[in-house]
Amino acid sequence: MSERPQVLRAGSAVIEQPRIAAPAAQTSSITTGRRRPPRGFDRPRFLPMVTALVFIYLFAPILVVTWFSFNSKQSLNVFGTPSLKWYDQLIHDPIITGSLFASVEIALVTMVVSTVIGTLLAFGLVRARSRFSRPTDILMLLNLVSPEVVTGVALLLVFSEAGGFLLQFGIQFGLSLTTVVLGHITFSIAYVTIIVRGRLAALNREVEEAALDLGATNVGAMRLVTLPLLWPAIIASGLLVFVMSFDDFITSYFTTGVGVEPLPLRIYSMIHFGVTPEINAVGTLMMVMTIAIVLAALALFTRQQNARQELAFLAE
Amino acid sequence: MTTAESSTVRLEGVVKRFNTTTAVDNLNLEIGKGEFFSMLGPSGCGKTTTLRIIAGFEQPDEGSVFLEGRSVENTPPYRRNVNTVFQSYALFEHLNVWDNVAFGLRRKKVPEMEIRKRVGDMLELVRLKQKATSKPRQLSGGQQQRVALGRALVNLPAVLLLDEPLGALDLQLRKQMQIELKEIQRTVGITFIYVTHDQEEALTMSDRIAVMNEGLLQQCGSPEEIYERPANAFVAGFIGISNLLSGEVQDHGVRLKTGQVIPATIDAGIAAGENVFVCVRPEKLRLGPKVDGQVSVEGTVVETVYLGTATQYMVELAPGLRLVAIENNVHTATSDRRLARGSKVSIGWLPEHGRVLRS
Repeated sequence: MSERPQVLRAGSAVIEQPRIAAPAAQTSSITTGRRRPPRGFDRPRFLPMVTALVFIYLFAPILVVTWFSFNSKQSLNVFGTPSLKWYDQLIHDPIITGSLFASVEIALVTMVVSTVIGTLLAFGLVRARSRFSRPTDILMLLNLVSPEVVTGVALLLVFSEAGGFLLQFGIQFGLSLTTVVLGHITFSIAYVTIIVRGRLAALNREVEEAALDLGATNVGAMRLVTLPLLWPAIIASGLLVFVMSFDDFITSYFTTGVGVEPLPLRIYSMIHFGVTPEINAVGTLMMVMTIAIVLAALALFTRQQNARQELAFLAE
Repeated sequence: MTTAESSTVRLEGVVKRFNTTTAVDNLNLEIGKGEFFSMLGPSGCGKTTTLRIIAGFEQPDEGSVFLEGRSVENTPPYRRNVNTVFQSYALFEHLNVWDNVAFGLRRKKVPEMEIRKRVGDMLELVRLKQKATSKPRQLSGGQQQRVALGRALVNLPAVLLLDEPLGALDLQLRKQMQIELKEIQRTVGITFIYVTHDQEEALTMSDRIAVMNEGLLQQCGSPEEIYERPANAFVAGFIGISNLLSGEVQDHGVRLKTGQVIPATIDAGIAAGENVFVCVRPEKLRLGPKVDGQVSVEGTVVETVYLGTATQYMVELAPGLRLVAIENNVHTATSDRRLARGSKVSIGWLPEHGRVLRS
């Protein structure tokens, strides 16, 4: 089990170290304790350069945003002195903080609800020997690949129809943060199901039978054995859903009503009046939050090495 | 059938079908208290299914299972006084060795003081006291195997079911664990039902062996009975090396394909003219001139294999009719003393060592 190939290797993913070292290098590796291929052997010099360029391409925009969020000047190309003034302005802007809290709230509710539903669906798909398993599976994947603009518009239509229908009974149901959550849940369930299902399918059935054999009831086996083994996958999928809901734009755009907007929509409206350094600060904050959550998910996975397969999915 | 008290497990007419295949077909077994009972057969013979029926993971389609004299028809696995050592060990990866072993006792609400003592004693027995706080994946295959054994045994079940428990270990460790398992079984005195496809393992460890094939019980008896007096050609071929010489029953003997009639004891149920096999074990064969009272056949040596302790000869009596003979290397310790390929030889055996089996 310990020899499972590592799916994701931070840092070393781009340059593959040559496996075979020359005999001379091997003897030296005994003394230094490190295996290092001889210089100029099987390792083109331009590879590190290509790698560096790719990383610059990937991270330069993010670095620019972060850098200019600490700018004392209003300008987006001239850097004055380092300053936290845009952050200060940000936290004293009730509209932006309102949007931030709304987004966190939406993401939290979406995370909890879709994790529960997605996990239950995973159990159904893996365990129920039903003729509906396959169609359900396909429907779920369909939801995952359908264009978000289309589902967004569809949700808008459904919610307005539902609003009109419910109004006949005197119930007010308009677009609000609730409809945003409902919208986010629709695309989140599939992610949870795919991640949890992978872990569940890899789970040895005999482990649960062993629990029954040792006197645990069906509920006991679930509580004491199955769920503890699934936790890393469930929590990681929950964090992934949080991140996706937190920065979702399209679905939110179609399902938000009047009043407080989720943060990504807020940023979009701010841009209408020109890009201000305040936006840089908001962007930096969002990024820090997202990265922190992804790192938490990664930490969970590295602790539970068996769950590495799911990382392949996260990495895609 | 013996009285109900003396048997720990009794199967009566058990049938289990999966879709169109019959995994277990009309199986009757009675396993006594403290017995080391093996179920032996090739994969797919129904031995594991039988074990799962006893454990309660499968329900038989027909027939009944009795544990300690009581029918367990509607008893779920967690209420049966039976524990299993799984082929994959099925250890709880999220719990350490101690908690794995204590799992069963905790489910039974045994007082914590007693749990501490019994788990401690069990870890002593399986020699894992130092590993109590390790997680299963930090242990070697042999150690994991012993955790699985301890986790099941600590509950002192009426029957311990073992599903190829040594299958994943390498040969040397397996030999060592065979001895350990047998010792542990003698110490605790619990009935073991041991499923294996390794005939040598079954012969060395068991009090009794049930040989199964394609869902049917072929023979049930002591290792000696199974080896020396196989009930049919399948058992003879599956256990050890057998020479199966095909022929036709005559009065007081069997006519081989060579035309020679050899004397043999014919069971009452086999009529003259029936096609049969004469089964002789290779170590019962004697190479050399005919001795009075022995059955003797003539042949040519086609292969000589030096095995260290013994020499194995392949002798052809007629095209397609071959015998394997094994001779201990006492007089034949040097190569010039052994028979070379192509030499003519006569082979003899005592008539009682040739068993006549229906083909």
